[in-house]
Amino acid sequence: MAQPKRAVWRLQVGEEAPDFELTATGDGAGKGGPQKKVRLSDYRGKKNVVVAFYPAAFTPV
Amino acid sequence: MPSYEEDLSEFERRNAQVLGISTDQVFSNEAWAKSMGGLSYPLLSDNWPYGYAAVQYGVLRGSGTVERAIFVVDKQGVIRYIDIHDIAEQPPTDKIMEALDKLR
Repeated sequence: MAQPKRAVWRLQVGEEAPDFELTATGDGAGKGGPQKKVRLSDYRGKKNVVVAFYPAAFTPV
Repeated sequence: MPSYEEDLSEFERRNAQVLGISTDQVFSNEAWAKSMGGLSYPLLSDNWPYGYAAVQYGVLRGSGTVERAIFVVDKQGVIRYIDIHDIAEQPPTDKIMEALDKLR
């Protein structure tokens, strides 16, 4: 079976954002800060969040 | 990702936190960010289990790479803007700002 080129599952505007807890760089990546866990729901009631997925480190754009 | 650095104060003005996510490991992201002089937002590693968050957001390709995608999430945890781009293109920042302007 051929692998789909694009993911099929799509979220819609108005839906709840799936929560995640991921290991992250410090608050400013590349500045030597200690690793930490970042959880999306920690920002609830506090800040808007721009979740930016990107393909891989060291990509040109 | 690097281009958002210039826009940081614009994000701050809109009470928005940028979270960059890829399937790279933390040390790789740290090294990459360092090579660009450092960033003002964290990079998150979606690599354990591999691509788990990307699957939930529908942006993991069959090839195992993540699509270039932006999700603006409001303070209630609701998705208010989605932009999914080809890997070679950078999502337009002005559209993200527009979406954030509606939230404040």
